[in-house]
Amino acid sequence: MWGAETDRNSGKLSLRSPSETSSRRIRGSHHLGQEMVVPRSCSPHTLTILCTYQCTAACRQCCFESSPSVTGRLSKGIILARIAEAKAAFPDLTLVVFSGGEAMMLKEDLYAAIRYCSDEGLLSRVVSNDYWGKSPRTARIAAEKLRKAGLSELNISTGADHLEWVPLDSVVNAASSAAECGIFSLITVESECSGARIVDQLVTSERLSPLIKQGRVSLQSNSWMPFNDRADDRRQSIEVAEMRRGCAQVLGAVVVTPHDNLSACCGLALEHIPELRLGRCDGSNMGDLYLNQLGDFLKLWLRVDGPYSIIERVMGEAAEEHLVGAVHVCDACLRLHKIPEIRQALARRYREFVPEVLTRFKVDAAMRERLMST
Amino acid sequence: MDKGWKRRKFIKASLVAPIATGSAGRLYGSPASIDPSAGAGRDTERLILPLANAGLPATELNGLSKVSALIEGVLTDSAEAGAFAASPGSYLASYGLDGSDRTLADTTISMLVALADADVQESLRVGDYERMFQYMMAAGVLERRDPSLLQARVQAAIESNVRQIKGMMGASGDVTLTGVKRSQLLSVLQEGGFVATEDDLAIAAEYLRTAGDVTIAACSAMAACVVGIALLAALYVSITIAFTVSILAAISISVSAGVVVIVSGRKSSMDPVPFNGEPVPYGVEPVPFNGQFMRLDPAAIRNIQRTFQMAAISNDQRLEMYATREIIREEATAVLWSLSNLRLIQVPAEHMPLAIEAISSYACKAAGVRYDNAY
Repeated sequence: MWGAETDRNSGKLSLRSPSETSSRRIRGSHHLGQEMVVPRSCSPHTLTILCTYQCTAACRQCCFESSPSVTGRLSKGIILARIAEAKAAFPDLTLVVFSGGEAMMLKEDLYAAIRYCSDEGLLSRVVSNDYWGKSPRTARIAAEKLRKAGLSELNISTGADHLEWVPLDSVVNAASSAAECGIFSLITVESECSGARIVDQLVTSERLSPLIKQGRVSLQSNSWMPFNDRADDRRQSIEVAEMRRGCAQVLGAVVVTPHDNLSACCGLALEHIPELRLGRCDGSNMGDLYLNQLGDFLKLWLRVDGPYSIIERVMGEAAEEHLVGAVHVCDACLRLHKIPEIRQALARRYREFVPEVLTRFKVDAAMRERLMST
Repeated sequence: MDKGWKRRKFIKASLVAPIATGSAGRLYGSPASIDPSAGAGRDTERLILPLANAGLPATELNGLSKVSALIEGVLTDSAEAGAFAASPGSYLASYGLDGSDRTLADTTISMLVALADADVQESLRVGDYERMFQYMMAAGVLERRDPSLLQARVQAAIESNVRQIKGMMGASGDVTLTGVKRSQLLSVLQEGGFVATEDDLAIAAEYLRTAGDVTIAACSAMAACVVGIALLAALYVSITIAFTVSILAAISISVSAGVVVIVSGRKSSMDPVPFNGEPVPYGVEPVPFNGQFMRLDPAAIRNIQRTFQMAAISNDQRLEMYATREIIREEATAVLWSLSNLRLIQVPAEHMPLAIEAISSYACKAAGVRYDNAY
């Protein structure tokens, strides 16, 4: 059973007296002088390292406003240290994702980090715009380095905005080179502008077509979310029912940002929502920062119901006007945290939802724990 | 591309970026990536809903072990299961949990209630999954679906890409087989077990052309048989629906999106690819019906996820196989009817069941799933 000490103002929770044998131990609770315990279902399985905010591109709707002129990156030493700390703190950790900005700009430092993951038995994924595939030769060289480092999979971002900076040939070269090196590639295409058929060009590409048919390269489309008022019209097919679900990111993943902060999620809005910033990493506090979330009912609620449903439940009939045009779960999360009326309603009414949501959270957590142990 | 191109692009990007960051067009303010002070040191402005202020004891988050014990009891002890199924609200309350209607409507909790029911347990025991699904639907665990929705959406998705699909098909062929040979082929195809081979694909194609009277428009090459067309169609379908949960870490098709994707008999959503330090050859043997078409009907995906969850909770691998077969069969049915309606293939209506049977058999084999109910 947990012991809990909660700061009534910050909502920060400390846990003590581990006695649940099926739970995993979270280390890093140095200031309490003892190990922490969280249920395995709450333990993150993914660590995302946002290596840098810098990018070779400057996409118009980038959530970080990344560009070549933006600074802020993690050193190789810090990246390796954070992976080591996360692995020690979260025994259910299985995957490390390297994203950005443009993670491949780190070059040898990135390969070293991937190799470290391989050596530690962790899966790894790189998210890239594939600027490094400007010729078949450069693509092959980089893909070979990724293979030697032991990369598990490559995720490639492209679409109308990305193509202003990175030509489709680069994407084709990089994805096919990776596949030829035995690395599965998933190409994610932004929801397309009217009339655009970027997907067709990829599918019919002489190099990619056979790899797609063999299942070594795959494609998907992501809902495209604007961050400024100069957005194009996009053809988006949105399933609201999917946005009504709980957020698997919160209490399921943990993120180290280029400023060496720990974030509660890896959503598109993480640097627009201060509440998602858990604190500054100091080399030994990852477990504590992560656990502190459990004292904030909003984090548990986001996990159980997700931001879209929370707004609907708290705002009632007024929810519709606040959710109109929402295209992405992170879009709903931004509205939840930014719209004063919603914030006020949450602060005023949340207590009435606590017994129900907490029960659902606990049952779900216990069920997940059971599933993981069977 | 030469170094000059790269340099020009880089300079262009450097020039544009400050304009973007300095503009007043931001919908949500400056991100902390640009303004590191954004959000820092503003704890008083942060929206935090402290559990400690909710009138609950500080130890409210205690008791997960009690909840684990509750679940274990309900799933393994018939007396506990009976008590829970008889009055789930009271039962939860006896553990200090909320037993309100809203809580009981939660999918996980209603699933637990259903699994505690004696009829459901008996259905699971004897493998009567149809009966179990009926119960789950009545209990609200599984969603009622309009059976025509998936086929209509599959057809619309294929139709909107029909030019591209036709363009990737080859030239026509014409082969006939004897009746004895046909039944031999089908029996080979239906042998349960392992990943299908090129021979199995050839058998499926031959069976379709002969026993099924299926004519594949402009097609002779093996890769362009129905299975090939289906794989191609699945690709277009997969990009028809935009994920609304995409994240910076990007996503695996299966894991984060929650879509069940069967890769050579391995459901990657439940069985992560083992890592041994070497690159993993994903999907070398692509499965034509792997849950991608189901994405066109999100209720189907939710039902699939819940069914797999129930299979895991009750440790019933037969249910998992049964559900996988149902996915394959439903997708094969929707796709074959769509291809036929769009005249990409020609199948006499009376032969459609045979065609569906042959394609489903092949797909099951490719997925490593027995086609019959034997386990």
